[in-house]
Amino acid sequence: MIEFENVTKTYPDGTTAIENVSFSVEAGTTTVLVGPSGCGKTTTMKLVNRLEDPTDGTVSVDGTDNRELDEIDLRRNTGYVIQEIGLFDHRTVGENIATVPKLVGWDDERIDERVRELLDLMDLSRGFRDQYPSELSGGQRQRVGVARALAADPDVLLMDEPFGALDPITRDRLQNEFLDIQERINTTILFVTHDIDEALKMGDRIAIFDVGEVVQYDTPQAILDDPKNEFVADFIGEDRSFKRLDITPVTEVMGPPDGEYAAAIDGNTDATTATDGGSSYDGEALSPDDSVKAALDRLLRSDAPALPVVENGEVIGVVADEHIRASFGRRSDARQGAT
Amino acid sequence: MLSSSPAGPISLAGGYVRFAAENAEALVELLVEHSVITAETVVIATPLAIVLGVASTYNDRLATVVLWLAGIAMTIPSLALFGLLIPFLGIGSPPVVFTLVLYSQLPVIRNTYVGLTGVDESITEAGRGLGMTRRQRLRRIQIPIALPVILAGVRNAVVIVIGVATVGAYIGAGGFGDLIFDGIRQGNVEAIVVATIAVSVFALAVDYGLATIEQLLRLRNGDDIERKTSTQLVWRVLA
Amino acid sequence: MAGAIGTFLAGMQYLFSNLPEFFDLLQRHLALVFVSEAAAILIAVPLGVVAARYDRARGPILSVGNVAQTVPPLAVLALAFPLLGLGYRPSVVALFVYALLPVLTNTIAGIESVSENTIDAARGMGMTENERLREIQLPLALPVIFAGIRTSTVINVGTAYLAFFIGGGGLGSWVISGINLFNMPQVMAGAVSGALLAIVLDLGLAAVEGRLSDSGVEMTQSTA
Repeated sequence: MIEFENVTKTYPDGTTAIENVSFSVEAGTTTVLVGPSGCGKTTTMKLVNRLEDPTDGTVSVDGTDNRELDEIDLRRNTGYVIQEIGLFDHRTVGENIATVPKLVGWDDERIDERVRELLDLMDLSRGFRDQYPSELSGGQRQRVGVARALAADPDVLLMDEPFGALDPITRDRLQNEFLDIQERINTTILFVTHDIDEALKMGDRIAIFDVGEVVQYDTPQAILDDPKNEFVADFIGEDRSFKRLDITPVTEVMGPPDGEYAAAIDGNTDATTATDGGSSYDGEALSPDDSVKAALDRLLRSDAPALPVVENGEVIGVVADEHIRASFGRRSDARQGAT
Repeated sequence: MLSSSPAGPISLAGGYVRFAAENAEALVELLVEHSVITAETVVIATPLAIVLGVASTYNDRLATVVLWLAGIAMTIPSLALFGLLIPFLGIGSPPVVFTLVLYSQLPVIRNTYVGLTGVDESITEAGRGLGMTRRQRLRRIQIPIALPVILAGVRNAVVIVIGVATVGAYIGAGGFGDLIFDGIRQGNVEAIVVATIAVSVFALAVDYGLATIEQLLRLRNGDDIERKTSTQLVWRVLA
Repeated sequence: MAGAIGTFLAGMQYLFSNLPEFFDLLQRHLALVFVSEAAAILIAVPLGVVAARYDRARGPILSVGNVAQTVPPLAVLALAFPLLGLGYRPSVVALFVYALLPVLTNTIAGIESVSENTIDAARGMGMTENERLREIQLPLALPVIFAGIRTSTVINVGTAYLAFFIGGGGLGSWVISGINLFNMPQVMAGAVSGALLAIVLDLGLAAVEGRLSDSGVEMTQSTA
């Protein structure tokens, strides 16, 4: 758990990077700091592993003010990934990954095993181990960067625009892989980006920054549903309904499988069984992992009024236009009621 | 012979000043000789090296060969080269200038090459887009942008030239080296120290002057640099 | 041209008929170069590290170094005479002073060329300043430092000829007495052997430098 309490950071030249920032990050979750460049998000992140120290206020890790911790120990317990990766070009991939375990004195056998584990985790073939960073592609380098940050099993992982320099396709793939990895490791993650789509995709919670302060700190859903002010609304963009569709799983909007659409999906069961519950783009059935956006896309292209949601060969729900609308309607009604 | 009096530093310094004052006329003459040799070298060497540098940008293989040869030339000890040229060019300044021209090539060719090839691709590309020929791009875009870098090479060369020209005095080319060799031969410490200081100050002054011009060229190119006092001054006067 | 070849052949003949003396001079020359160069490396590299690490030290160190390099080599040698006298030792000291700067500037440039991101990553991973220097900056700077050593050594071979003027011996002895006696074969013998020595050292050091770069240290490759 990381807590920011009334944190202000002013540089010696007088510029204030952040002012009176407070928020806390639950252990084991991912919090994304997002905002335009120069808004102080990177500075905020660097306060966690004390690459910067606050001018005022406290940053505490698991209840301890981090200025009471030894900065070297703190950093060795905190994974750190940056956009430019900063791989050590004179060391092999394996040696790069082993950096922190070596610093903290693990024995060779344990390091060896850990490196192998991480290469597997990051989907890097073991042949990469003895290659030098200059021989890798951008995506591969960033995988090594993440593996290196995770090497000593840090409690906290800091990621500063980790996928920012990659081409869109590679970025998307790495984001998806990282979402998987995130579920397998129990690490508190602080993730900095300027890309709102990435923030919505990666974050359990999102802190939106505007020149030195946190404007809104909430779940992606809540931010999309109820942007706190015009800045946030502008930052999210005009297509925020689509963005919400994209981050909402179909399981949240689907109706019961035995309701009024039972007949409509009947003819679909073949395709359904054929895909065996996996997410399939040729069949029309949906998997529970699919987003509502994917569901809408397929509905628009399909003649059927509804599509089944299938898990392990079994229909667990159904999605039709009205479910999607209803999910929006409910929320917008609720908001109108509140104001 | 060596003055062995246990003189303190002040009286020692006084000795040097007295020596310099007594030999002021000779020192000026040596300065002129040294300057002439340096100037002759620069006038011959710079155009030659820039042409070679420009030619190198047209052909990678040529670049490799030219830079390699220029590098080899620098490994030949100056004194030896002077000696070997005596049968062909006689004694005095011709063999010395020849050698100095040879030594100037590497820094100027290298900087010309680096400066020209270092011009941002998008700028030359824009020139192409505007319909400039290769020669026009070179003259109107690349050379002006590369000029500070080329001048830095010239500056580098000039410092080497002034230094090596000192040795040239041994085969009769004149300059401050004359006084240094006289001092060594006669064990005249004052002569050695005064000549050494004079030639060093001369080299530093020329270096500083060229550095100022280099900075002015950079400012003209719109580079953001930390300005020397002299640059600041001239820049303000010009502006 | 024919004259040049004739002088060259005569020079080689001179060399082979005076082999024992040649080896003597070569040995003395190498002693001048290696001792002064080794001392220069031992001083310049740590000094460069200090300069790269402490901003306040860098300015003064670099200015002094640059001024020292602008002073002509003959002047440095000539100054050693009144200060230290004649002979081998004053020559070594003068050559040492003159060999310092290329190693010093390249050490600073090498350390500073290590990308900010690499340092940032190392800092974020909890490397202490010494660990960063030892494990990241110095290994990455090594090819650049080595290039400085190479330049310095080649210059040193040439400058060592001048040591003869202050009684330091070496190959300069043949060249200078050859000039004095207008004995061109002798000048040629002294000149060619020194030039070859410089080229051989240059190529040898270049080979080592190339191997340093190949072992994964790619300075030209940025992390971006």
